[in-house]
Amino acid sequence: MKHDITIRINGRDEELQVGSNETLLDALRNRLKLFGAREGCGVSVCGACTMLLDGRPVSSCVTLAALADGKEVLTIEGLSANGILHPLQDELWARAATQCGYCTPGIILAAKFVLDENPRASRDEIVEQLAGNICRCTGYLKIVEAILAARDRLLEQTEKGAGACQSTSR
Amino acid sequence: MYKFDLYVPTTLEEAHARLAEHDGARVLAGGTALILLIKEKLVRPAALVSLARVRGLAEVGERNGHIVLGGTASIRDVSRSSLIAARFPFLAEALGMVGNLRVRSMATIGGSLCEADYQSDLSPVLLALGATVVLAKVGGVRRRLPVADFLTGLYETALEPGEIVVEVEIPRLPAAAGTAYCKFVTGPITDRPCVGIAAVVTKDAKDRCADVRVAVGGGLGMTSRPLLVENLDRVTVGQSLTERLIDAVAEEAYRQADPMSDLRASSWYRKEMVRVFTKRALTEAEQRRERGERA
Amino acid sequence: MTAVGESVRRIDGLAKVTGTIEYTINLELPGMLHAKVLRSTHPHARVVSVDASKAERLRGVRAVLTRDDLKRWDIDPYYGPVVRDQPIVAIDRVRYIGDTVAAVAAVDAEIAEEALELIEVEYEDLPAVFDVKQAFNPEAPRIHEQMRPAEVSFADTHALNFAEGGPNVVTHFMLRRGNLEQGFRDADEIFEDEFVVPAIQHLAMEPHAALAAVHGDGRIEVWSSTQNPSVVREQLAEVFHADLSKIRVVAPFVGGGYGGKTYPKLEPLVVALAMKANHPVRLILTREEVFYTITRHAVVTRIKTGVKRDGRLVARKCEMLFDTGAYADIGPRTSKNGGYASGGPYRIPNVEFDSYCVYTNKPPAGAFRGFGVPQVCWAYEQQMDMIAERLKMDPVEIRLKNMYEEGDPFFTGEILHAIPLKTLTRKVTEAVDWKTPSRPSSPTKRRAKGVAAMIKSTMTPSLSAASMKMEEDGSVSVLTGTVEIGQGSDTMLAQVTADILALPVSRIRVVHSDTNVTPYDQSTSSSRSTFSMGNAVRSAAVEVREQLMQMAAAQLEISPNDLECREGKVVPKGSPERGLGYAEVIRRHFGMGVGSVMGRGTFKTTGHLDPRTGQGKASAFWFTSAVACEVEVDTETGDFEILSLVAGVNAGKTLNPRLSEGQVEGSVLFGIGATAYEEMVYDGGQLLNPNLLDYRVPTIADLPRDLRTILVEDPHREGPMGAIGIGEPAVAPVAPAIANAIARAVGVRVKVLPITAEKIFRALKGQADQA
Repeated sequence: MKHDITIRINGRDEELQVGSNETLLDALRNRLKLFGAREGCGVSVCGACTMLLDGRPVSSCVTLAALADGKEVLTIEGLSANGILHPLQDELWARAATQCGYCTPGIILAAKFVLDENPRASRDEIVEQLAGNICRCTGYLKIVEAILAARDRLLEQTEKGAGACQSTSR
Repeated sequence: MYKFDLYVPTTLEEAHARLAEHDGARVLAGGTALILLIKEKLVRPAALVSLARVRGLAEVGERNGHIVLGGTASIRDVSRSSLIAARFPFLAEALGMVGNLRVRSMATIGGSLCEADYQSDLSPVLLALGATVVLAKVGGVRRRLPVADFLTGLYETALEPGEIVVEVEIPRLPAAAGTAYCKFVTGPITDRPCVGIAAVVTKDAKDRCADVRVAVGGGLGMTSRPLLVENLDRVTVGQSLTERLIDAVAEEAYRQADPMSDLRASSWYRKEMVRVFTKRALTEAEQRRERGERA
Repeated sequence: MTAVGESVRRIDGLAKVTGTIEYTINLELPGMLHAKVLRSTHPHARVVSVDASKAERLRGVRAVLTRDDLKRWDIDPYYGPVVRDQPIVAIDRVRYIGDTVAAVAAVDAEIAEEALELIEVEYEDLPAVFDVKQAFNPEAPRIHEQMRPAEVSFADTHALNFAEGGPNVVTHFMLRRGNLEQGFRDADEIFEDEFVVPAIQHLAMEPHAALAAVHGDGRIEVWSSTQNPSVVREQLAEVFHADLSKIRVVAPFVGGGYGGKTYPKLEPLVVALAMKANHPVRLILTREEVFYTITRHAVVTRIKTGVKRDGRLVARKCEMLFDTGAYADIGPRTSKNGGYASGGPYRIPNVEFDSYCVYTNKPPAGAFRGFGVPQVCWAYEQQMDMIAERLKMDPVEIRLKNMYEEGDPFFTGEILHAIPLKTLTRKVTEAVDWKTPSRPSSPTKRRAKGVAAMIKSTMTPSLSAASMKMEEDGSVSVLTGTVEIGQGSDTMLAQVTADILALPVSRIRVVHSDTNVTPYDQSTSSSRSTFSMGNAVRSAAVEVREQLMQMAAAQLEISPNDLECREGKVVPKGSPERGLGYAEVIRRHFGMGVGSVMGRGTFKTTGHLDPRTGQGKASAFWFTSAVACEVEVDTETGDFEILSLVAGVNAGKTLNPRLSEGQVEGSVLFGIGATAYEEMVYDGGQLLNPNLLDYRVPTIADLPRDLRTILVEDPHREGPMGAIGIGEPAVAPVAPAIANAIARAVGVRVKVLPITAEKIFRALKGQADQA
């Protein structure tokens, strides 16, 4: 069975015709050539295929594409608009928290979700929430350090941003 | 993946109609179990009826003195609900330990119950809470089953063809109850429980046990069903919750538990851990009760 | 401006954090077909018939490859880096559950998968053997009827004895030194123990993938997630009877290797399918199939050691059975490596080491981070603590007493250099406050510290070549066969180049392994790239620099000896204002504003061991490491927590501190996984956990709260700037260090990995194992 769907992917509406049994991961990789999400385990354990669906983290390897109809999807490709890296991307790079890079987009999106929900998330919370994203290369230490550094930068930006807003309103 | 036809109804009536139309159709909730089974070629349904767009099934609220969890409420939404955190903190905690971030945001209460995995964090807590599953059939016919009767065995439930879990009702706990869920994993924290013990302690005005409940996850009981430890009233009611009494309850849980051997642990070890974690769960529930942590 | 020693950002990092990095799984060719593989459901069986006719008729199917094709074509359908024992698809038998029986190419993966169900195979079961001890038995059922060594192999396999010692013994490695009998007679105490390590998975996040195109003129092109394109090319040439120059193997970025993507894996199959289908074919394995493709050797080690009362080791006999599964892969070399490593980093004058590479009816085992050493280190480092305990010695003291020092002869007779074992051991134990016990967090818990150390060789002999091209704008392309598998080789090689040519790293591009373009490199494995390719690239850069200086010397009318390279310019020493930018030098030299300057570098290491005594030279350099940790054991459950862990590794010279730490941290988590969780569990020949739900690996929550890396710099005289590799050494000591800490905490000695809470609890309960 075929489904005509419209998904808003990284801010742009995409019209697709997908099969009933087609996963969101396959639809984006095979039809739209978005290769940032990857299959690692196929069973929702490793997190390499993480996408944010209406802002919530999903394993796109077990999400049916047809069920994303009318929803918004954010993939790693949508995170660094206009060539400016998101602080998470920049810190993971700067702190050598990416090695082979296969898990990296999933880790960045999961961390983004955690920090969106709780911008002041503690180290322990971050570790607990990121436990579903497997990295086989780095040993994780540099990932923790990078996410904490990105958290601090994002907080700083928010505070500065708030200041800027106040000055405009005056 | 095997081929199937996917239906995405927006009402319960339509969902029932689809289920009736297609022989061997299965209900698709969060997909973290069923899609996986299809991918692994363990099941081959011709049609899936998704509940994702059925309105009014994802509520988490309070009705007629009960807490109601909608069948498609996500594990994450329940675990993050302030109502649940206030009423049944151990339910919120247990669900916060399910799988990983993505599984929690995708998987649903109804789906988890229907999966009926013995390594569930949800079912021991619902058993300890005396929750009831509300099932809806075609034509709006509903029936209610205690969770203890709904979960009939290893990956088996009392769900009949065409039935959909629409909600779970949980009776309120007395204000003075203490609760705890102790999960023990033999793998990383994202692993399914080797054992998970849910405990509820209610005391009377004289600080004697009024109601002590212990439910065991990670294995079944002697009846080949998820285990809500039986006959605890006889052992506990009217007694002080001393270390000796806790030991006696733990011994009872140990005696009634009949877990299986699998890759996570042997039956023998699981049984031993049922004893250890029953003690820990009861101790924690009592400490929380004393601190008045549950409103 | 030297780039060496700085934590410069990875040059592939931007593409990785934006998700745009190119893996094999992303590659497509026009008209490409998708492949799926039919796998055996029998552990050992004669293949009576394979009927693909129904599958071939399915709409969308373009080709089904069966043994009939292999028989019909003028090819040699067997491959294998040491022994040619693995057929492209099963010919007369299948030898494990998961073995390749047939393959389909179709217009999409779903149709290919559907077609698999239409292939009819008839099997006739043969007796199977799963346990390596049973397989080693002279009466065991034979898994391979004949043994055919590969034509092109690595010289060091000459150190092995082929097909000696039983029907399933692939190779036997022997080392003899001193007088063993006399040694044991001189000993005051003798210890004899058996230690076991199960098979585990590399679990690179990217599954194996390969894409092949076969052209009408006979050229074969393959893009593959491989760690050694040169070897793959050699093997394809042997199988398909083609010139090396007609075969192109490209390795795009690889999403994790750890040894699991060395030597041919999917490539012969994909090429054969592409040949039959007359279309390019891509195969991406599922996670389950990866489990059936390659594993780490399960090993049983029997180790007998004689010691003097003062703690000196005087004799050791060690026998190791390496379970290499149904096909040898690189198992003969893995077992050889484990063989001479089984003495550990200690002087023992009288030794006999025997390691056997043995077939069983299970998935093949091959290279895995540590290459045989983690398995034997698990044995000798635990026994070291058992010796210390009996002699009432401190575990650190007994190690320091026996450890090799600079200039000592190794078991092979070669002289050791740059092996700061004692420094490493002292540093890591000091870092965990070895002498000061810490207090448990509850009365039912116990704490203790543990230590372990190791020494490991690198692939020797080996060869690496590089070429380099400075363009007319002064930027540089480095052409190297080293594969970027995440270890940071692109960045490291750019740093080495930048250092010689006095350029910023940003002006250097590393061109990836492509056998059409890049010179020969043996393999991206054995932590050899920094040392071998680092040297080759360094030579190539020096050659470019020398040419630039010659050119500038003529232009400036000054002796080249009076010139140097600084900040992208050739400058006369002492008068930098007269310097010429590289682009200017090249323009002036060719007089036409265009042109390039080429450099070449080749680095070769040599070595050889005698097959009967194991004497000679095993390694171009030696890796050394030590790990110390503190654990807390819950006596009510047997569960344990790693409170702190400090890993010390000799880097020779740290070229990029952050990347180097990352290698060590990654190694430690590999070690922790193997220690606590990882095991491929079999029921007979049936693997029970070929998925990530049941095969459990460390998550970010398993990171010890206190994890530290100590990089010691004991420079190697032949290393580029003194550097050696650091990708593997920290893996091996992790498991025995943790086991030793647990033993010291609760008196339980776990000899079979993984160390589960249940094993500790069972021992604490004093219960006999009921399994």
